[in-house]
Amino acid sequence: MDYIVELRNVRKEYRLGNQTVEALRGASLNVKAGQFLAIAGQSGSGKSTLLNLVGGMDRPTSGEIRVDGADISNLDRAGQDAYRLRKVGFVFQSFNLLHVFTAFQNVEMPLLLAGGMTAGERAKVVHQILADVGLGEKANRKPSELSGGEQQRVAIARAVVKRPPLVLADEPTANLDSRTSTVVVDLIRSLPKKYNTTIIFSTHHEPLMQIADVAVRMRDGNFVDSGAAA
Amino acid sequence: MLSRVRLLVGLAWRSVLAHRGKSLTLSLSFMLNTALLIVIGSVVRSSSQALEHSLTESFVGHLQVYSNGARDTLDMLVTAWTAEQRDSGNLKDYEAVAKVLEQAPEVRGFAPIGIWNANIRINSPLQEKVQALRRLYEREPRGDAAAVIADIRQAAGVMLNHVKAGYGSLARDAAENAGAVQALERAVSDTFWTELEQDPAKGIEFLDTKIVRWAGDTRILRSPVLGVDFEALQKASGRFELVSGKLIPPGVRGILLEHDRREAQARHPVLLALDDLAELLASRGRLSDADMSQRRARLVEMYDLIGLQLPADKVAALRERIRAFDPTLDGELGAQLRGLLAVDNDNFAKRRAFIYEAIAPLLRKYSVDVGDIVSVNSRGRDGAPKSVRATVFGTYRFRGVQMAKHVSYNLVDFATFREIYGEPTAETLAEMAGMRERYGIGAAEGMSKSDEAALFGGAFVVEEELHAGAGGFTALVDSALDEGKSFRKDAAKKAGAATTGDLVPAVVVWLADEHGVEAARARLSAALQSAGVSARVSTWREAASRFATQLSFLQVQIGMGGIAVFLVTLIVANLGVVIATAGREGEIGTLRAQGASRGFVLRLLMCESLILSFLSALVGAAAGVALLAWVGRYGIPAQSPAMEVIFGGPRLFPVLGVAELIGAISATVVGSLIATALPAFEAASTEPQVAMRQRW
Repeated sequence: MDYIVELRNVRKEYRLGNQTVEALRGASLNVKAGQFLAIAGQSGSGKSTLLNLVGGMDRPTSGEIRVDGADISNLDRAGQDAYRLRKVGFVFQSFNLLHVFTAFQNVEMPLLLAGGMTAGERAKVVHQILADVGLGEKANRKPSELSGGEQQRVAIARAVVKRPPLVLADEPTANLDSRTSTVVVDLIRSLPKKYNTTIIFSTHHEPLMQIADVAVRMRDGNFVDSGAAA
Repeated sequence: MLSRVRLLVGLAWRSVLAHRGKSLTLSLSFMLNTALLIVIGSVVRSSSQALEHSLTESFVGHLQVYSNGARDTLDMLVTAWTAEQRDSGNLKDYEAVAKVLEQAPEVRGFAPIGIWNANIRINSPLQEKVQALRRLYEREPRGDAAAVIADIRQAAGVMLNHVKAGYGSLARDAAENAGAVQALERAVSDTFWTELEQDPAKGIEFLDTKIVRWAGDTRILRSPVLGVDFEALQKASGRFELVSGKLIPPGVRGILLEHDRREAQARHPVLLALDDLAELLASRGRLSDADMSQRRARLVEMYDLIGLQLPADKVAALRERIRAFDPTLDGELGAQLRGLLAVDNDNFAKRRAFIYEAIAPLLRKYSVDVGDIVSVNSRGRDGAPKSVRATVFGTYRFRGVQMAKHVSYNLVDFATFREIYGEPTAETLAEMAGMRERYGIGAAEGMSKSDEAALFGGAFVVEEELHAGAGGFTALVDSALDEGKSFRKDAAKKAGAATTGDLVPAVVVWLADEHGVEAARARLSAALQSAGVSARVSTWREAASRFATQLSFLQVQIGMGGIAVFLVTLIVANLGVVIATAGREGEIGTLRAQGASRGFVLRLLMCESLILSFLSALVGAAAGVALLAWVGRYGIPAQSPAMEVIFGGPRLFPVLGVAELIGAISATVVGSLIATALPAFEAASTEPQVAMRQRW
């Protein structure tokens, strides 16, 4: 099978003072390319740890993580930086827009960091993607001048602007009202097809589980159906 | 690579603009730092240059050549007390030194100089009058002494009245005081003056021994003297300034008094006290009752210094004027003067103006004045007392260093200096032998006071003319060059010869290029050695080390100020960056999550700091230049005589230098980068997971 993400018996332990906390306890998961995967679970179930590991922001204590065919389990810091830069887009619960920059500048940032494009090329891509998320007219607004839903749409645009094979969304609707959540979820739902990407998002809202291609649950650092394969 | 730099600069610029509140706070600190560094740097450099110019363009010069056999290093800034303590030797072959200096292209000018200690003896006004009386009676035919006698009787009357009116006693001992009163009563009596007509020597001796002593002692002005070739000095020194009188003509013996030293030491005490009080009131507005009472008492005590000098024929008119000025100031002259000098905060200005208008013209404003002939006394290098009579040709100062105690020299011609110095050259010995022969004086070594009077009294027969006014003094100078005055002509030749004689303690050298001091020293040392001259060469910093040390101390102080400003800026910048980056943790975490490496974040923050500090430094530099231009227009006033010396005058006019401009901008930029480095490094260590945790 053609999996974009493969987790094999992944464990993650943290030291909290003298105690060792097991955040992930041998989790295994396969995600097909182009899928929209929802991970549900209560706080502390291991969702965020999983996203951190798949997002190349942390390394597992043991086990293997492969993304787009490459093992990212043991990447050094530079390798992780390069991985995040090229392969992953993030959508955060709190949007994490740079509030001093405009919507355009926020979306442009990953392209700037990745380099290789002229200002004109970047502008074209950014304007297009902002139009795609329905904010073409608000490109020059700062986050403080946008509603919560609009801010999250800017964040989604930023996540996909460099066309990454994988987008990770950490409870993207947690700070939104239900109506706005629906709009944002619809937008996220449309991403795999539109941008040829794969979406993994975490949530603890049951309704969102219904619209995902695959939904998995986590509890105590593992998937409820251990070895869940989407 | 270029695109990465462009990306960094673009992002950093965007960030600087975006965080404009924080940027403005930091930028103000950078601007202030740059402006202050420019001003401080310029003040340090300008004061250094001002003092250097003041010194090198005075008699100190850039370099000094002196004997290799000197026991002490040459010190151009001696005091009256230390001049005799040092032995910097004599150049044995001045001709050879002069030849080397003449051929050196870097030398702008040079002059032989010598420094030694000497005292100028100043007689009290009454003593001067008694001496004038003696000279008049010694003349054939006898001169008209009526006016001088009247003045002496007037002065004696003032002293007598002082005791009788109960203002004070003349002597501590009652018996001695009674004797003084008895002598003064005799001196004012007609009988005494009738007897004096019959036996002048006895009468004048009585005045000299029994009366003059009560009118104040002979005053001694202590000061080092600088023997110098005036022509060379005037040609090479850019700071020599004649304040009053005339320059000593080439080949003529004479003395130029240092202007400020004479103001402080020889000005009439009453006028000096009035001027001091006026200056104090001008600065303070009013004095407290206690302060004013103290100063009033001192002024009143000095009333006799006016009375003793008043010409007898002017006293009646003056008393009338005082009464007209203030009818309450009645009674005898002493009472009137004491009343007049009893000033307070309210009447001071009016009374001072009156004293200057009505009384000062009747007094000798200076105990030694232009045209006077004074005794210059010293203990020569051989230990024997020396005494030279010299005409005061004028007062002078070296602009910029005039307030320095170390630079308060009286200037004498070189022939006079040789005699004070006490190692007579062959020319001097021949000159002295000629004088002895001419005036029939025995071959005794040295000159007694009476010998001197015999020698110079004849030579300076125009002394009375001198006191008659400027015409008299001009006549003296003119006559000094007159063919008919053979003694002076001789002296002129000898004085000129002295500059090429074998007694030259040192030679001051002025360079064409003030920046090439060390190089010129090395070249001249080598040239002197090649010429077989045993001499060493010092620089102005060595020969004026006291000033150089003072300057270094001031520069260190101001430099510390600059460093303090710099450190404060560093701390402010550091705190600013710490606060700014702490508030940007989420932003940095998000950038890291998007793939920005730690190095990229570090470079970004440093680039922001570079842009901000550079732009701020440019604005600060413009402000600093404007501030400096404003300060430069009005000058920084020197707060003390020492500051005046360091400032090279009463005000320092700092000038901007390119080095200060570039240095201040560089210091601000480098300082900001240093201040930013650590917080930026810490900020760059922000883990990308922060973006997940952060709640904005």
